[in-house]
Amino acid sequence: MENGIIPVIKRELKLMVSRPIYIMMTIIIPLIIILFFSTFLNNGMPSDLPIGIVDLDNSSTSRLITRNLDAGQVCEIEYKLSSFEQAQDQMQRENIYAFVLIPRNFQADLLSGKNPQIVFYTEYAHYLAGSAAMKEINTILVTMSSGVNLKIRLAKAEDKAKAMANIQPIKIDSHLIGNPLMNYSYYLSSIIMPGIIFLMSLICSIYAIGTELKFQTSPNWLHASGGSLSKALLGKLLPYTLIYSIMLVFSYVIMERVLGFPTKGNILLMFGGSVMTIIAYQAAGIFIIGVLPMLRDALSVGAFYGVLGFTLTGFTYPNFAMLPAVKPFTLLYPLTQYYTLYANIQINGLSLNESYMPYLALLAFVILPLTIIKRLKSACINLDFKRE
Amino acid sequence: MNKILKDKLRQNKEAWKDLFHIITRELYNIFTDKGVLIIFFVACIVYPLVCGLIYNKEMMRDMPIAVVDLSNSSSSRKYLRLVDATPEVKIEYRCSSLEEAKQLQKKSRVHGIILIPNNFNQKLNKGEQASISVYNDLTSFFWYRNMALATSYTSQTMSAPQPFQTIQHVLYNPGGYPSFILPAVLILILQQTLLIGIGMLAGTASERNKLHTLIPRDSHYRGMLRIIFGRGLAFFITYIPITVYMLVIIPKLFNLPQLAPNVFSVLWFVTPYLLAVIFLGMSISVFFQNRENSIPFYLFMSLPFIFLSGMSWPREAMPKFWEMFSHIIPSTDAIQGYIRMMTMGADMKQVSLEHFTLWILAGVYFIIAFITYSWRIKRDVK
Repeated sequence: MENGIIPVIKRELKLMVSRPIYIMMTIIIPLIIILFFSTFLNNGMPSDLPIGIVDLDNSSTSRLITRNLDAGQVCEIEYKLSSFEQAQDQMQRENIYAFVLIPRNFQADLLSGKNPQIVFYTEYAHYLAGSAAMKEINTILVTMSSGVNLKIRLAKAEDKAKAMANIQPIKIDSHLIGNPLMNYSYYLSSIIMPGIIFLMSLICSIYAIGTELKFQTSPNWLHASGGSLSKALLGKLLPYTLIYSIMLVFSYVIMERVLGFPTKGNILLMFGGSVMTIIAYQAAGIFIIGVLPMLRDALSVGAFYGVLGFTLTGFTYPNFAMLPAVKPFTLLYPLTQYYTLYANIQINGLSLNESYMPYLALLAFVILPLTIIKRLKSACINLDFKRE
Repeated sequence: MNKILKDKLRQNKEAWKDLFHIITRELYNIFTDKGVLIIFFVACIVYPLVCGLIYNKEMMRDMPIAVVDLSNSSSSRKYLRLVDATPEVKIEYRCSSLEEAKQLQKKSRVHGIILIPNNFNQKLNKGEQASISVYNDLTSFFWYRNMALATSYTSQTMSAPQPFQTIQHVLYNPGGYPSFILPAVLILILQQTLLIGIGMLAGTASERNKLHTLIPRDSHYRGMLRIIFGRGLAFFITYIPITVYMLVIIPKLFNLPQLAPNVFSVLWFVTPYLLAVIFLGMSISVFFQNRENSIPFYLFMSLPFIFLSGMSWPREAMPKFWEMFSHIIPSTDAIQGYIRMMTMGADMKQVSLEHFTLWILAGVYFIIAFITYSWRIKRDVK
């Protein structure tokens, strides 16, 4: 019988189609993830957030404020309440994310120049909804206050431009390069979708190698490669590298063509980086099963390591704000490099020359398996590891 | 008459005996399985600690920014001094051109740029509206947020007083992001570890029991109700201390908001949650032939489940289908209720809908577990 990489690949493909869990890991789970994250966040902007109003003034001005708040894009007034306590109760029931309290005699105080206050209450227990509501309510109220100001000044026969300059002397021109719509989907899906595909490539390589050890078929596997563990590993994992790369390409097509994510840089650079990230995770998988040649221990460790990557990578919460002692651990994850690549290439439009470090870091992960190759080979041939 | 009653009583006694036997045997299975113990205890103890350390207690402060001050006047310097004084940002670089600053931003040395044009001072002196330009770093939502807060606050400070003032109060969880995400993660870990562990044990049973059956051949394992209750209760008992650790001790340790009226109401609230998760896990577990398969199967779900909970993405903004689907997953209502109790001080009455939903889920999953177990046992017998 022939031996080398090709027979190992053939052997692996047979294994793959014979057990449903492989189809699950390589095809079904990535597809579910792509489907979920491409449909879940809708247009990427929170809308229709219910808020409440406590109008103790009940004047034409307070009703105008209510109407304006209701007309906002993000919030909708769902409850008209009569007291702070009532509003708080609605908030605790999660029926509203924020409420605005207009005090008694508000209009009268405003007209007599007593500079009254409007207080609004939000919560950060639902962080995104709370901050989105806060931002919109604040903008609407400040704009209205300026509007009142403008009316007063125009009535005093002030020039309009001058009046505006008095009301708001410094205007901010905000440049939202890369994500003009402030679309949350761009931030989240662009990393989570590929991130879970990477996670599965890690788990799958541990599973594929560990199964050989568990069912003691590893001598067989090595035999097919002609006794070379590196050929055996290449032949075993190459099919998965290919399948996961195809899944990534598919997720890119969905993100760019269907969801319209911004793309600035060279897409080939990005694909190259993604394939290298898959390989880096597979290398980490070989390392884990090499250190712990028992399938279930290796899988538990791999799961722990892999999932933590989503917290540590910094796309949900910047590394910048983490404890200094935690920061070095972010380097343990290929996903950290992928996120840097995505930011550099897709959002900031850097060239390879300006952003080669992440590629080198991803390459460095390939060194990992080399450190345990001897041990893994001995485990494969002699099956000399602790079992239950 | 008397005889029938006696018979009934004897049967009843037998049933309790069987149930007790099953519980002890299942507990023995759990506590002698190293892999399951790692998932149940080590993961549940270590993971929250690690997450707590990663999410530093403070919100992000002093984000580095670059400024290009083309005006170089007293008012531009005043503006920049005020920006620098905000907790959100810190001026790290002063550049002579926008290009220079943009290079720094591209290399992620700074996460925002403020450009003050050279006519800034003249315009202000002439009483015209002056403008400044802000260039945001959009690689993370938080960079944008800090920059927007710092600049709008400064501009408002330098404005004339308005006819009415707007004051904002954060009623709950003023700590922001870290103390918002951690409680949700705690509830989710309970679910994911239980599901994985239950799948592992079922896979082991399939591998190990003679004839690869789910249920050991044991005279006490009779009566589907006893088997399902027995197994379920064994998991429940195991998870009582874990739940107390996760939902009561960890929040104390990391100073998370703890406004719940009392600890027992929180535990009473999560009781149907644990039951629902256990019966859901048992329903699915009949399909696991190998002990390891539950890890790849459940692992990837953690992230979608967090999103489905409605914590990070408001449920009003979810597509209708996913909103409805989300309530099938026990963690959705459990996260909502738990956070509202702990972070927002809601009482049992205010989370009654969630509590009720969880009881319904527990009931439905119990019935489904009954059906899938019957199917599996019938197949095993064949």
